[in-house]
Amino acid sequence: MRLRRRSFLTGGTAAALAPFVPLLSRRVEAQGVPKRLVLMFWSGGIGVNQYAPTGTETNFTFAPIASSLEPWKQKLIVFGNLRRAQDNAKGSHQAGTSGVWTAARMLGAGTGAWVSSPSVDQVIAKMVPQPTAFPTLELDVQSSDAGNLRGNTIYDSEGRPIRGEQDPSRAFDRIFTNGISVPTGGDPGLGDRLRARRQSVLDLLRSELGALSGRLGGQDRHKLEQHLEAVRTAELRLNGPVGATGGIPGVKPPTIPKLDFKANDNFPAVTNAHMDLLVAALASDRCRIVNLQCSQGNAGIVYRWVGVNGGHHALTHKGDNAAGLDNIRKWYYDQFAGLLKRMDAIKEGNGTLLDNSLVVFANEFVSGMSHDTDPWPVMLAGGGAGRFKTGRFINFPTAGNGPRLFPGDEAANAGPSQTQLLTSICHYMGAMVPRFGDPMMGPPGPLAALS
Amino acid sequence: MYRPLVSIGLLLGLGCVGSVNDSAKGSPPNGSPPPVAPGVPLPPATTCKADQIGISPLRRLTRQEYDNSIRDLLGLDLALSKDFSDDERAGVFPSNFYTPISESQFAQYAGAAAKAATKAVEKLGTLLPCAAGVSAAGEAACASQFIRQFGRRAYRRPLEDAEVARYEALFKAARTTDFAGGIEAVVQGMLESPHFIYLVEGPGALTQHQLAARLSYFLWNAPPDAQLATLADGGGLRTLEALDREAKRMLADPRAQDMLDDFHARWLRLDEIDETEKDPAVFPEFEALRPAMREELRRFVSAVIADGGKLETLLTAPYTFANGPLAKLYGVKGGDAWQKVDLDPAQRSGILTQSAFLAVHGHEGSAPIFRGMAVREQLFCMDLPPPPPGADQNLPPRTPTQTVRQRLQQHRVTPDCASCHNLMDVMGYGFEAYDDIGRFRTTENGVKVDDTGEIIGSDVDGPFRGAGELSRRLLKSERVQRCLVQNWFRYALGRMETDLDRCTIDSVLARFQKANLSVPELLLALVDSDGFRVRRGEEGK
Repeated sequence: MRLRRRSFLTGGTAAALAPFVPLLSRRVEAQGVPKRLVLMFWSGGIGVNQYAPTGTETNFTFAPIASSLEPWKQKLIVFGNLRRAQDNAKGSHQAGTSGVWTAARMLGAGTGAWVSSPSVDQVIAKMVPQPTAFPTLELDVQSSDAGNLRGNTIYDSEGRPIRGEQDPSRAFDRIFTNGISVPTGGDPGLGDRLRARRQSVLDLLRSELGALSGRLGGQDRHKLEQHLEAVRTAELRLNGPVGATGGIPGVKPPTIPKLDFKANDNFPAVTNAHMDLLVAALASDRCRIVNLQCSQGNAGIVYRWVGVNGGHHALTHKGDNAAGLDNIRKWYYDQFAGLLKRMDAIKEGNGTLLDNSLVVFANEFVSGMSHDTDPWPVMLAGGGAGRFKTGRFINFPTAGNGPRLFPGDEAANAGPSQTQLLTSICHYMGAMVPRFGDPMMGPPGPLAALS
Repeated sequence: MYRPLVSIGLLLGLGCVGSVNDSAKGSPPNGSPPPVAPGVPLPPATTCKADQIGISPLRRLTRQEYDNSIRDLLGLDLALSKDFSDDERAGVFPSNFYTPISESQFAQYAGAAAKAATKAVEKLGTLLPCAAGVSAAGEAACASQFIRQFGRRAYRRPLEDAEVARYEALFKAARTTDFAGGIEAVVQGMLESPHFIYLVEGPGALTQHQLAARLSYFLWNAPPDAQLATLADGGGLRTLEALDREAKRMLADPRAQDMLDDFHARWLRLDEIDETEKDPAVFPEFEALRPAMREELRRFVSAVIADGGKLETLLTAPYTFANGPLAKLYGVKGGDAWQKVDLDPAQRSGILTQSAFLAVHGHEGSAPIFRGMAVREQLFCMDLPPPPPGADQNLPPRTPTQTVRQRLQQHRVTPDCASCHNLMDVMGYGFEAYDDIGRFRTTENGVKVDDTGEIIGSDVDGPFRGAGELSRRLLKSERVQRCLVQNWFRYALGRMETDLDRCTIDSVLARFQKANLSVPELLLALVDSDGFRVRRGEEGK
């Protein structure tokens, strides 16, 4: 089985195994473009007053702190008053972060499921097998609280968190070198030898994990099986294509600096390196579903580079308009604009990589002070190769500042809602779910305003 | 004056949905743990019945344990885990017992193992004694010898023959250009092996080797040393006397000092001193004090343990350790060098009145809330819920002549706030004689400090004055004593206690109380306890 998998990917017997060869899937899609999804998470609330742009659906203006988005208006869909319920059973920071891409109820950090349903990227990857080396890619900028719902946005099909990669240079190795980096101009056989050695180590780990998981039970066995799965994936990668080989011609792997990626003051550098990576990964078709989590709401990142001296979380509790918060928010709008710029710079067909992708940019709270998730601060960019009409500010009439939406009847019947937007995103990516998230958290079906 | 509220139940009725955090938190969220599978042998428990033991989940080494393990194995202090994902936590203590590793964590282990292996074979002669001038024919035998010897330490038990054979095959496959390359692959494999990365236990009862690993990762956050390993090889941990003897030896080792320091720093969240911020305009001296506050704790804990390790000393000692800047903070004479300093017992009493606790929890403008909350959560083991969403957290603006205490009165008059804040602020008022970095004061903003407080919802309820009286009161609380046992349980076992562990906690608490609340005795009681020596796993599920 292993040998067959390897030969799939090296392409040696591609003709014989044609229906299963990823390269071929790409060719089949050559008429169209791949469906791609980027999730970008930021935190701490946007402040109730700064939330919405002003103007009409097609003629609107961003607040000054979001002015960097002005040039991108025609490629954006900004939502106002989109409802989002929160399940505070395990705390409101927990609700904000863990619910943002899941619309799930919270079960609590433990050895079993943490949330009642998986995040949107994982739902899609499970329902629509991805022909890329990475079904999904999780990147993370200095989030902490690994063992807490409030530190995790991405959950697998069993409701367990998936931690993102924090180190851009390690992410680079995984994405573009299959973990084997060889200095150029050196011993020509070195790469092959290192790969062969790695293969032998992986063989050994597979035997060990297999033997051990057979002896243990319950959650212990599950942990080892997941570990084994990571070995299998590493093995597939090891023998798969290297570098930016697929996708849009001419794309080169980015140059990623070695960084102390946990150092507070490197936060901007890590964010930017991750963006370079994710854009190159999309463009070279190493992956089509990427998640970028920038910290989390209870974190104490000090945004010194925009003149803020206190920790972010403490600042949010001095009030939604506390001095410095707007500097932070502006910085994030600038970063999002930077991501759009990178994606738009890559031409694809008649448009750009951005035009042919769907980028979702969301904060977990509207107010970091009160920990309120409703209305949900979220916008889309790209439009998915024309699937979604962009250049719109969709401001729903439902008052978002009314009573909080908690799980239950009211939330399940609430107006245009997070669960519907995430359903629409699933549908775009080919995952035809009737509804998304927990039935208690919002209504079924896609978002009518996007059809 | 407010009327004291007498029970948690009443408080809960008023809306503070907190919980007494002494069980259940760590039990699987989906249903109760399974019964012990028939046929799984358990060694005899001395106090608790076989079904009165909580489930021990498979756990991965913490970052600190990983680094210490590499250090002890290779003699190289590589600190490779600095690039790893954060540890999960059991309470406030690092422990990876929740989630399976992700693909990116797998890559982290792979990268670290590759680096360590490359470093290790740089001095092949030290790594394996048979390497020097080994002939081509002798290589295989040398590698096999290395696999058994190094594997014994990496796996914390002797390797099975089938395992040895796997590594021999790996060596053979990887020995392409040179001998070192083959050995490098072996080291890499062992450091990525589940038997190294996890504290593998079971199936069934703990083996002597698994018990030895529990012991050393508890008392040292590190693997067994040669003496403990030899003892385990010979079945020398079979009796409580032998176990006690070994635990006492280990507690006398410098590695145990590190562990004790680590426990106390994490228990009271004093490790957060590194991230604690103070307004430099108000406290220009704080940056220089920060490392000193951490060092003070280390020296103090060490002295308390040397002094018999009584909880009473920890909570009421009228002394601490200070360098120049700290001596100034405490208002005592002292040179630049570190030294033991006596403090005015009317001003200071043990660890809760020392700089690190007061500064970490001394948030600007809200110190009584956070200091009270720390006592409530870390000493009473009571979880407090976050403010309800939508709660107006804006206190009235502070006037220049107001104390923080006066400003926090809002929490007492708004019923929504009062139900929880009465549990925190009112106890936190006892610390009002210290500013945000722990300096003693008698006035705040020109107003005379009022450090009277009250404990409510506990077994030692009643009004008190000042942190000294509070500390002495806490000492008398059985709930505080039990909470300390719970915290040590989490630290020792790397998991949350569950309802099933009540028997173990009770037995340790009884021995702790009988020994005049001696912390070293608590540790020995834990090591001897059924919960520590007896494993209940998930096999047969």
